[in-house]
Amino acid sequence: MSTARIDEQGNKVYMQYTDASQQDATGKHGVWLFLVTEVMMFSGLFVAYAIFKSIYPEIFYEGHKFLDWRMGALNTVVLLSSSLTMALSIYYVQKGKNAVAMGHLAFTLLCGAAFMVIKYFEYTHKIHEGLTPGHFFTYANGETANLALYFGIYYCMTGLHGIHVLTGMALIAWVMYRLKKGEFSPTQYTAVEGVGLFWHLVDLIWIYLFPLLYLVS
Amino acid sequence: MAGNGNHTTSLNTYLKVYGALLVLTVLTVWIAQFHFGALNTVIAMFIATIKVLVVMYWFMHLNHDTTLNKVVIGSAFFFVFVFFGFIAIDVFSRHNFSTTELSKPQPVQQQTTEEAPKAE
Repeated sequence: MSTARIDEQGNKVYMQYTDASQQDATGKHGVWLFLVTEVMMFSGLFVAYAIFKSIYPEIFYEGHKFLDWRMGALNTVVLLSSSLTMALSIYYVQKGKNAVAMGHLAFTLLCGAAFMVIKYFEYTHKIHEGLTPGHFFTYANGETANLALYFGIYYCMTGLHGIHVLTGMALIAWVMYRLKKGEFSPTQYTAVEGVGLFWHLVDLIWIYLFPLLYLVS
Repeated sequence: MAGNGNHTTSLNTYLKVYGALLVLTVLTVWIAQFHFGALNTVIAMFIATIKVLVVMYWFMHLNHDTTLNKVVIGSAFFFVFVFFGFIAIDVFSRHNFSTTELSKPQPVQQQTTEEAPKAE
């Protein structure tokens, strides 16, 4: 407790900040900066996609036929719904209705799990057919010579995204734990908002991935 | 957020935004069945970008955020644009760019060895 003090509103303020509002703004700014690095990391994969798609459009066209767009669309709806409930959980924390916020966080977590289950079914189906990444690729009936190229990109992009979904789920669980302990109030909820920003970013990346991988023309 | 004046978006706005995102998702799927050639990807990315901006503005609360944070996330998109731009300049300015050519293994370039003796 030597490094933090409690201000008039009962907020815990660490010694390097002048007040709670500066502390909150700094935390949120840090999350946005982190999101920039996330965008940069994914942009490398998107650029790889753009290069190979422009050189070998026929491989991407054939590859996307192995994907079920209904699964992708369902996952899009699942993630958009989870984004709504994530935003609503912050709304209810702002209103001081922690129990309702807890329910919304739990639903968000459930949506993340549903996304991963759908992804699991998609992956196992492809692995069963031999549509596996890199030199594990054993599918022999491809029309194009290098169908493995599409699946290399598919697994890298959806795989990295899937890791982010799992990370987001762990963070939501952490926020739920802290909410249960009563650490958040209408004036103190930076962690919920930060985790929310990360969860929305996961949604944003999927918004681009869905048409790029499932709806190739 | 306490530091930013504790702004809240109304419940009604959140639900409208969610509805708009679902409509745009249906639009993405619906429009993909038509064949506009290379335009399909452009249209899909255009709709996706609208969805992304909607999520950032309302769900990620950029509407109530500081100018600094708007500039920060805007810079991310700017640099992604630069990244794509320079890669596109490289890939599409190669004189041998054609899908049929590049589908075959490329022969080793012989020009450099031929030109070497001319240096005298």
